[in-house]
Amino acid sequence: MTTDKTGGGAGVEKKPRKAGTDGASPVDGLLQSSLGKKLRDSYQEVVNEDVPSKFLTLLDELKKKESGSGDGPT
Amino acid sequence: MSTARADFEKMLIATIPHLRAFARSFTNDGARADDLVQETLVKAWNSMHSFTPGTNFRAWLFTILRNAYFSQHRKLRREVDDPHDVHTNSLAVRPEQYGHLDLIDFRSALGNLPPDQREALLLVGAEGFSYEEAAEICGCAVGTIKSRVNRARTRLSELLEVSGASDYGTEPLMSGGTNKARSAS
Repeated sequence: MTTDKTGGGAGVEKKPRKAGTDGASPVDGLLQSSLGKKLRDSYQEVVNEDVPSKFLTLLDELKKKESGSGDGPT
Repeated sequence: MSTARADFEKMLIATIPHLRAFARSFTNDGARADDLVQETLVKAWNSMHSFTPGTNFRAWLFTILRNAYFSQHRKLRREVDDPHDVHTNSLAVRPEQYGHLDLIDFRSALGNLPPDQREALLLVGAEGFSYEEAAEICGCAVGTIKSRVNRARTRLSELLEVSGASDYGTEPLMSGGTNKARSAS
């Protein structure tokens, strides 16, 4: 595995943060939780879109190509 | 068609919506994102034998998509300056644009993140990959992914500070490396 130039582990501090407890500010915890939800929601919106039929057509073509050539691709 | 093949196809179809969402994080151009997904499907189909059953299928496909994007991207960059390219756009964002933007839409805030941070955040926070899986997809160290996710969270909170403060979320921190179960497939 290659590491990129940002440097593996450099400056990584994984604080065991709990929302709303001392240590991290409570507002920070709230923010993070609402952020997390927004992130998932906005991503999920795209995931939930209908899949255009062209993708299934493509897979059908790939299958056909394979069975058509007998022994499969060379 | 053998059962293994049929299973592979089923898994492939089930993953298409996720591939489309991930591709959309690379380019704002929906058609180009879909081309990327198509390319991924062809590559995946042709290298079916290289997938190890029992390993994370979605992670395998994401890696293929990512590689396809970056090899295409290198070609494109040589030819034109692609205005739809999220990576190019993000690089053009000047530091002073990172101020307090009350009404900023979440997605545009996301678009303002450096590409590597946005990618790490999406993989871990939205797709539910573990840090380890995300690191494998991106070909970097686990620590790098963790620090990218942390920086992305911080930057996003800054960008959304005002609207976010009045916005009560009910869920805990976005998923981290300990929730393998969520991405188990």
